[in-house]
Amino acid sequence: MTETLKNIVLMDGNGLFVWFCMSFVFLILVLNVFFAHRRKRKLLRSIKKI
Amino acid sequence: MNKSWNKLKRWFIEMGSPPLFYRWSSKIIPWLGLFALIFLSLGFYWGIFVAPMDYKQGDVYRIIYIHVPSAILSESIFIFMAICGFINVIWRAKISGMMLKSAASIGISFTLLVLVTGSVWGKPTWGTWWVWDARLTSTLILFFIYAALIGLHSTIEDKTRADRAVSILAIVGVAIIPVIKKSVDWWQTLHQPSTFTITSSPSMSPDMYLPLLVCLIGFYLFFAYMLTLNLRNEVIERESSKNWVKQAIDLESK
Repeated sequence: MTETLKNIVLMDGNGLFVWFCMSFVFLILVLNVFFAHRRKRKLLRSIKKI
Repeated sequence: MNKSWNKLKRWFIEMGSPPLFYRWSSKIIPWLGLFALIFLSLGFYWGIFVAPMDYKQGDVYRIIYIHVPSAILSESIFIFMAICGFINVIWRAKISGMMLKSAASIGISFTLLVLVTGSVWGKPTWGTWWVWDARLTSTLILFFIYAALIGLHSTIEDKTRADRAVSILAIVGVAIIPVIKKSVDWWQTLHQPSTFTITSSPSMSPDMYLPLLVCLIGFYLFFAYMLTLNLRNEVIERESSKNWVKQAIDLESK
């Protein structure tokens, strides 16, 4: 179990490259959604004030 | 056949109207988000944990499941923007300008993703983070064009004029896409030839190719989801003084 997990994480020394890319794609996707929702919240607030 | 074609044509024209688009998009947005999440999770899981290891590159090739779909998407988004720009210049459809602006921020983030993942992939396979290779340089130019589009739009206060200017830039800038696509054939490059081609069958084994296809569908669905979200925001912002916006927001908050 620990050996399998270690293999998945380390990937023969390439784990750092692969997991960095996975984290980066996750960050990009999350930031896209976050900024869109934040903008919507701001817009709705300003429209409701009018 | 003719009836359904007319129906589709009517729907397409109706979507040009901001209120109708806003009402229709509220129904599809949760579904787009859900399907994007399902396809991306499945594709990444399949690509990272299930797909076999490459005999030459080892596990590092798994970056392909992020790099290739984001490269295809960044180019597709630019083509989509050029089409929107063309519609905006010729027919002056208000929504096409909004679409162009909404797609630009998504496009630049995926182009950044291509550049970063490509660079990270380059280090273990080529021994360097960056080379001034035709494919890499042309993709960097695409990134700068996206940045120029976003910058140009924000500098012009009149939104209609900004849309027009950005449309022209998108139409001219689309010339970079065939250069990126053909760069690996026209010049001698470190970059490998295209993974996806319309004319020939894939050179990869189906075990590796299928998860890539699932990731690609996931990325496209995510783009559709993000575009709808951004476009709805753009519509609200530009039409904020109109009565229908207040009514739609009241209806949504109930």
